[in-house]
Amino acid sequence: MIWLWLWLSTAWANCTIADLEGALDGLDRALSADFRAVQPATEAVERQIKCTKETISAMLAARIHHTFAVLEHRTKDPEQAAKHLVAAWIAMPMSSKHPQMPIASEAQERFKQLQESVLADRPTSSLPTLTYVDGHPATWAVDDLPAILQKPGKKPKFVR
Amino acid sequence: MLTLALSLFLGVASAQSLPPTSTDKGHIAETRRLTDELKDYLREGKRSGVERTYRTLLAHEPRMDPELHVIAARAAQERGDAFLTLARLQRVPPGSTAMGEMAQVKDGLLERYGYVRISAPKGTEMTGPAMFNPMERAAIDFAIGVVKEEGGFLGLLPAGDYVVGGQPMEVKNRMTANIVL
Repeated sequence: MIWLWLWLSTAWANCTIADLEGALDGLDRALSADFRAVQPATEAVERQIKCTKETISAMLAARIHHTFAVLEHRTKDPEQAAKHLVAAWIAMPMSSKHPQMPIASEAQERFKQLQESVLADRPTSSLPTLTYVDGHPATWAVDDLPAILQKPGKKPKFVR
Repeated sequence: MLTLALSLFLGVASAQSLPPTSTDKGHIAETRRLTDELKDYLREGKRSGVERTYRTLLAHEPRMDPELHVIAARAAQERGDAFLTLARLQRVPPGSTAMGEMAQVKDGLLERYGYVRISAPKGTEMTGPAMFNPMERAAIDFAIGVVKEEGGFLGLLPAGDYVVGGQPMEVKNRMTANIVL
């Protein structure tokens, strides 16, 4: 059933923020219920991120990072999961954690360490032009973190 | 300036108390040594030593005594780094008695501050509202220093009216403020 829903939602998607949120809802359902549907649901989210021309908000960027942190955690990559957790925290420090991310995990411990490094050392690089970095207009981005980079009026790039 | 409501401002859950990441004797001994070193720096009033050792300890054993997160948070608070203060306080397990009066500090950061991101050239001058609370004053001075030295700033600032490179920036409680020069 989820396969059919994914196919339909992808086929009729119109590259709006609502479509992206719908794809994320589908991925959340797959993460909690249907392991086989995770991969196509992930691809659906990635397609929606790439195709929208609407500005992705900081809250939505944080949600995307939280979800991809769960995916990385499940594929046994705590380092990348932690990077997504830090990116989510920086995009929207008070955003809700993903219910599928366990509190006791290597990713959470790495998150604390990376968060400390990023805040204390402030490693950043300049961007050539004004860019929405995880929903925030900026001319800089934190080094070595995944980010959704979107120039005004353009399609985003999901750098991971 | 762009502002975004932080509707889930209080939605951050902290970890429960957890056992150490390793039961290896050498690991535990090193944790104890770093803990003692941090407390020595605290007794000697050496804030930079407290923060340096805290970071070493965090890299070694993130599941440390919650009291140490609070001590490190206090050091960041004294420097005016409100964002780092909040991050360190969020590492304290909920309900921990170690939090003490810093629980009010955390509540204050969540309730009376806004999340601010600044993109400006190095050397940009910034001014903020007059604050009598030393913690709030320190947070503003810290941001002014970072913007002047680095241009970019990411952190928490007390609500109020600011001027960054001649441009007004309003920071509201529990809201996001962005300015790009």
